[in-house]
Amino acid sequence: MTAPASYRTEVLLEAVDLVKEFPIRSGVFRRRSGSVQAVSGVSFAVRRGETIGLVGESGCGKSTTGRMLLHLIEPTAGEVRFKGTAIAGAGRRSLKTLRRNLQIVFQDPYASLNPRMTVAATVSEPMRIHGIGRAEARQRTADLLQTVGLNPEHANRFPHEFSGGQRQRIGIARALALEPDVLVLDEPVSALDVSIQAGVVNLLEELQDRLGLAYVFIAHDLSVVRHISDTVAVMYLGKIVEIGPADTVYEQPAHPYTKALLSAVPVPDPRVERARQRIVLTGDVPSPANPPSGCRFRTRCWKAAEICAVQVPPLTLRPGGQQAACHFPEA
Amino acid sequence: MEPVLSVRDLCVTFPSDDGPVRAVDHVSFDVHPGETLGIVGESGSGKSVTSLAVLGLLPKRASITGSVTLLGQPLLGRKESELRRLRGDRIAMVFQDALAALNPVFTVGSQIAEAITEHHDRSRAEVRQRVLELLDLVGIPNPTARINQYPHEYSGGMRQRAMIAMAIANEPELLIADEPTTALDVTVQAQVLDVLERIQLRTNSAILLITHDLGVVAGTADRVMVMYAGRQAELADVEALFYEARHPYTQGLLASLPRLDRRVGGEKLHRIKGQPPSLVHLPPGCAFTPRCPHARAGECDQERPTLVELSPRHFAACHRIGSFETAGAA
Repeated sequence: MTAPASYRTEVLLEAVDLVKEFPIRSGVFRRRSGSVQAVSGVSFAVRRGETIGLVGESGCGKSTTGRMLLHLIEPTAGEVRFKGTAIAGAGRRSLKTLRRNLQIVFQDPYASLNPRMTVAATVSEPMRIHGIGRAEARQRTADLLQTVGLNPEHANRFPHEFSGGQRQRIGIARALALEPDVLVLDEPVSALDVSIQAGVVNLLEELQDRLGLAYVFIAHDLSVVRHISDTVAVMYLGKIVEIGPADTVYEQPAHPYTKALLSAVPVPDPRVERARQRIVLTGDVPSPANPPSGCRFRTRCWKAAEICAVQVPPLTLRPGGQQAACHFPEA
Repeated sequence: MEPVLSVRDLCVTFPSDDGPVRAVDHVSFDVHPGETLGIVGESGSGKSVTSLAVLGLLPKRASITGSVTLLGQPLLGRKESELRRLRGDRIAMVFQDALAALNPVFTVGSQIAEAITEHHDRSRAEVRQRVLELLDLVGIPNPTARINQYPHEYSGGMRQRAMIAMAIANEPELLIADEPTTALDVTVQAQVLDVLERIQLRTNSAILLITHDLGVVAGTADRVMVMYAGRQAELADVEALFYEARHPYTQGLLASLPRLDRRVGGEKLHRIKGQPPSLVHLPPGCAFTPRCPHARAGECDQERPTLVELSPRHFAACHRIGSFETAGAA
């Protein structure tokens, strides 16, 4: 397969060595007694019209990474670059510019909409904050609702009058209000029923084709991620263990964790599913407060050797075109 | 072979401010020993209410009609004390949220022990031995230490396994698992499904597996029942359901799934138009009519279709079967 055209186009957003530490506090005085590194040096880039999928199990740091991209969570170290310019610190002005270009859609369409605001008020709020005139905002709100497949006549209704799928569309309309270049989508379809999911995924793809948006698609559902992503990054305990073109990562995974993760996802096809070799990992993900030395996956890895406890494996290019962080890669 | 569980014309109706809501509507099925019946459907399709009705765990305000027979004995209308004797012994349940289902102030070991002593007279030593055996069976490492720990000291996957240990403590003939892996990460889900499969091989229990994940069903169920708006849409052996789905809803559902194992290069996902109906205002006739690509006015929106056996062991409820193509997922 040849690389899609999008690989050669403009890089919109870069994450460079992002690190986030959260303090652990204990005792009566809530003294800082340690820290959890939720994200430990994550780097990737997203190009115009391209989707990068961020996958991993709970606690792997994928959502924290997504929030750092928007500076909703301040990175402890590392930086986010938009069109080559670092978004330094959290100055109000630079943040305002950043959020105009970078927006987020949250997982829970019930919690992420204000129940007391009409759809029109919700969708036009970003425009008001960014000084767009009322008449223009009204027109644009109607257009946006149309774009995401909602009836503009319903603009004066409240969130409770809509179903989950429709609410997620409202969230998408709000994120698009300022015509951003990049959308961070944090589990945008996981709360939705299967028959509704497909419609939202299709909508996201149509919008991308039409508006040239770049997506950072965060999800634990590996099937949806394969469908929508050009590039996939697999995270484990705060680090990217494998990153590369989606087809390569799914068809020839190089990191043992990727292999195990993919093998564990059930496929809705009885003959295929029953014939698959499943790698059942033993144990659970270790606590990020006390991650294993060396390779963080070694405690559950069937290939682990002495070197894995001593040396952190760096991301290295594999023949398939992806990068993997493993001393004994599969391919 | 005598079925373990036999459900006939089960209807469950709840009162609501907007009038009665029929959450389960004339549902009938059997489950045989050693068999896993998967019940799939979206939120509000009635799959969980069906399982709670079988266990007699619905609130009093629910009105239940029809019949539920466990090992030849009727269950509906039994006294609570009689049901308590069956629950946990002949019939047991694995819930979705293990943290909510386990009591936080008792050790995991004592809770599993209680499941045994509720139903059988055993010495303390015997019970302890059995609990250790169960913890080991469900793959909890180091049972002698874990037996004295509290639920919060267990990880999510271990709690789920502890709950399975409790459910199978008396080797029940019927195990009801309601979304047993939904709250778990995929690698842990694989471990838990593995445990359920091993246990079924050992005890020959019948399993009623309720889930919204068609991948899980494809891998573990022998037969599958698809529910829509509280009604049965289709009931068939797992391969027939996935490869020769007859009901338009089943077909739509299967087609809308993105696939992990192949690239549907640039293709759009199939989308079922519209929204699942509100149970308070169900459309007349077939509940799927407003979303169905094959519906015909004057037919589908008039009369409710009944579940018909189309080929041996393959049932579907649709007026229009035969007038459109059978299409499977593969």
